[in-house]
Amino acid sequence: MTEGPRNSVATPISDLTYRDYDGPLLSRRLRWWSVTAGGLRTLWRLDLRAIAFWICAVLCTGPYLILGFFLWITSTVAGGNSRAFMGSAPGVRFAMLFYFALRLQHLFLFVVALIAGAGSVSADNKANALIVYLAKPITKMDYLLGKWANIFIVVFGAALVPALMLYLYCLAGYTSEGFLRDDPWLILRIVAVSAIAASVHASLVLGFSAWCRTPRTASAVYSAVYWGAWSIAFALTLRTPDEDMTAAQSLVAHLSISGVFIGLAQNIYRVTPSRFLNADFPTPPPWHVLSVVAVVLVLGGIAAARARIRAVEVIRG
Amino acid sequence: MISLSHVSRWYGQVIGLNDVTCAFQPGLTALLGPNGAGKSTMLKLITGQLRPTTGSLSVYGERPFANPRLFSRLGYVPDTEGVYTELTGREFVTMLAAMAGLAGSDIDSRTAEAIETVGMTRNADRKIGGYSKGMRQRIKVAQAIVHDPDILVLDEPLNGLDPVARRELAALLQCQADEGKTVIVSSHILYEVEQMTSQIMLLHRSRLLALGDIHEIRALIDRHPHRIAIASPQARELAKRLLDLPFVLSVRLEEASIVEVETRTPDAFYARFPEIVLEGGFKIAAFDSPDNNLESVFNYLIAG
Amino acid sequence: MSDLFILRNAIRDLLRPRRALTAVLLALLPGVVGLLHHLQWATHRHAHHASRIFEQHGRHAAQHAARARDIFQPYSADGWYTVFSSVLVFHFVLVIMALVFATAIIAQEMEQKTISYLLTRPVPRWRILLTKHAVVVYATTLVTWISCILLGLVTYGPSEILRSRVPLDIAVVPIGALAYCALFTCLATRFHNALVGGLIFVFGWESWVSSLPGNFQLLSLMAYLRVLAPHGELPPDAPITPRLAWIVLTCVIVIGTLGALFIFSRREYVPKDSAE
Repeated sequence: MTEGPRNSVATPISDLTYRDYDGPLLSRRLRWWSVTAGGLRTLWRLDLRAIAFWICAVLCTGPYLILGFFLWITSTVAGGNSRAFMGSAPGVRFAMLFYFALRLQHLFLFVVALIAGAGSVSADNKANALIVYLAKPITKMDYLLGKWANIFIVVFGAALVPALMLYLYCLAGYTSEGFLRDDPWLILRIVAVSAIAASVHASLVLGFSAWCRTPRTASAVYSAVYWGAWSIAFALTLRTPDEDMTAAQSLVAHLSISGVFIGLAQNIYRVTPSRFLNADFPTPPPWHVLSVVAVVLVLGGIAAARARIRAVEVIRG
Repeated sequence: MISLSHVSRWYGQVIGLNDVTCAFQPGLTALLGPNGAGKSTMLKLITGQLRPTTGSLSVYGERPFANPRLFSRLGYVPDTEGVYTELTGREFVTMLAAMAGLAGSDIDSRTAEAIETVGMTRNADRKIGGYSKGMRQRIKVAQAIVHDPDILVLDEPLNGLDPVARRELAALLQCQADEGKTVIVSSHILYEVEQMTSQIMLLHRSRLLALGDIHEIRALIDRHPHRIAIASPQARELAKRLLDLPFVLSVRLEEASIVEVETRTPDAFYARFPEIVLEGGFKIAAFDSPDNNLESVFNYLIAG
Repeated sequence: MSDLFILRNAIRDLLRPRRALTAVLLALLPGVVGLLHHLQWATHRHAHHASRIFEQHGRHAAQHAARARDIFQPYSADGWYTVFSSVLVFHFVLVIMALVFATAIIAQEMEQKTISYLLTRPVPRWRILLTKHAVVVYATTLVTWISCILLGLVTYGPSEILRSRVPLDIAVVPIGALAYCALFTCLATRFHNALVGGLIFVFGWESWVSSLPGNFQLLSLMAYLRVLAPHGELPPDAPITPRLAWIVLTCVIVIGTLGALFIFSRREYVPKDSAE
């Protein structure tokens, strides 16, 4: 039998040398990828879950398509001047579009995360499949990382692809109007914002999924937390006009799951408080504060999942 | 009592049951078949959980689908392990007894009786979530018999039971059948089913392959001659003598002392064999028909 | 007798520790948030800015924002209660309770694979569903009432609560619970994963529809509830009148409930793994 890596905890399940396996142990990267690939494959089946996912993924493109359409209309109809639509804030004319689209898109990203992630661990709990997974030559972290990466890739794709579509459209049609000159790093900002949103969703959904026995319960709990946090943040700060908001109040206003990554997006896109299409963009907290909150959410979700995942369920009574 | 007429059931593009016509009479009938043969589909059709796609199915002359009138005369043990894990065994059976229409005063006594019948009295007040697989199976049987139904349908009831429990359940089901009830049991455990009943219904690839008494079915399988193994110290002489019989197809010496005979008319062979033994003064150590059992019938019919 | 046992089982289901805890947290949430807000802002003297609030709720409300400023005095209990009740009680607690528990009526039995026990009993299917549905409506109403009352106590205080908007909200909550539960139960009888669809309806459609031009709000259930328990003054040219709201909500309740009973009586419910 091939000697595999030893785990520091000397228990049969986590000690890889306990496995009855004669083949070569693959590197760490490939072990977690097999879990990820298994999850991604389920979205290519012809079943209701996959169909619901693809419908939501298409809906994620909606805000970007609508904004792109408005951009085209104002360019071709309204005197050929897209500035009338985007405003004239220097350096962020086009970034404003992407930020606004993210604000509109966050509901569908939430649903995509739910579809992709609510059942990631809870379905394994329900089917008692964890004991099968953890009896293979993978560690708990391989399993966790594989599940996390599955949700991350899906949400990241749903966030990034529509943004890239709008980016390419702007690149093709508005370079002469200063699209690249305004902000040459816009593409990196788009990738960063999409990655942050995906990371936060992936970690939190994974954490809730690990603590629930069924995908439906995980969906219900995550929905309640997501929308409850949004409602609380909104209710606690609604009576304060933006111009009177202190730093603490601004932080409270962004202390929801969507608030964190939308606030970070506003920092990354450098969109200052302003109005766009009749919507107010309040002042976000500083990026380092929101980053700490985002990191806490990400690590907290993963830690919660790790604490809960175990091969054997103890039945009481 | 239960009759199916050209019943087919499709699940999308997959056929679950294909043009089955049969009837179930009072007594114990074993429903056999490999995985995916359509056993559970048939039982779900009979218990009114599914509708046939084509054909007609009736239980006591009525269609069973969503027919509450029939369900008071029906007891069903599903194959799934799903139970209300937060209830105790007693609460579970009591709830389902009440839903089966038992009067308030009878519920407790009938529940206790059913629980005792399945041997779960000691564990009845524990939560089902803490039960072993065999205990869950027993409590499921208890809920099916609590209201004394006329028809008992059990989907893989022997799964998860230890040999003693299997024998006890088989005895219970035979008892129910002896009382004139219609008992339908699906199972993979052929040798246990053979102990329970000789009435079988064999499904394969969603079609009805055979229906009736196992021995009659065996007799009808012409293309597979019966094999009979005879152990004797005078195996060679016995083999020579048996070869002369007109209804013996072949004789083979398996080992030095075992003669294996193939015949298409086992009854004629059994009738003549004692005379041959007495005439020749042969000593017979053992006599067996290895393929006159359910498993052989099953394998012959499925092999086609 | 069988209905009683179905009822008992449904209530026992709701009282499972995790579910009961969730319901308690939801019931307490608006009151706690109201209390935090009250403590945080009690000494501040900012001018009220209701237009921001109502613009968040929809375009039509923005049209009467100026009038709303005149109605709500800074730190008036009415102002606080109105918005918290609208956002947290009606648009969160009520809909989340209805959504999660109504969609669980059938989904949970299917997940547990216990539905075959219910469907092979001599009880008409519609009675099984109606009993469980009634329990869910009751639980939703109770939790929402508690959250409403707690919020009212925090904002108005015990002496003023009966003269406030709270009694009206309490009277309307059962209507809302009946309407949303009917809708989600009907969805749940037809679709396996009605929870996701319900989430998109509640937090997507119902949030956005009031921002759309024209009379799109006629397609929002919450818009009708807001007419019966207004959280703000209604414009005179509002497309939804109280009479229309009663008619539509009654239709939703009746059609949703009857639809659910009809579908449940006709459809096949077999847990997936057991189908052979």
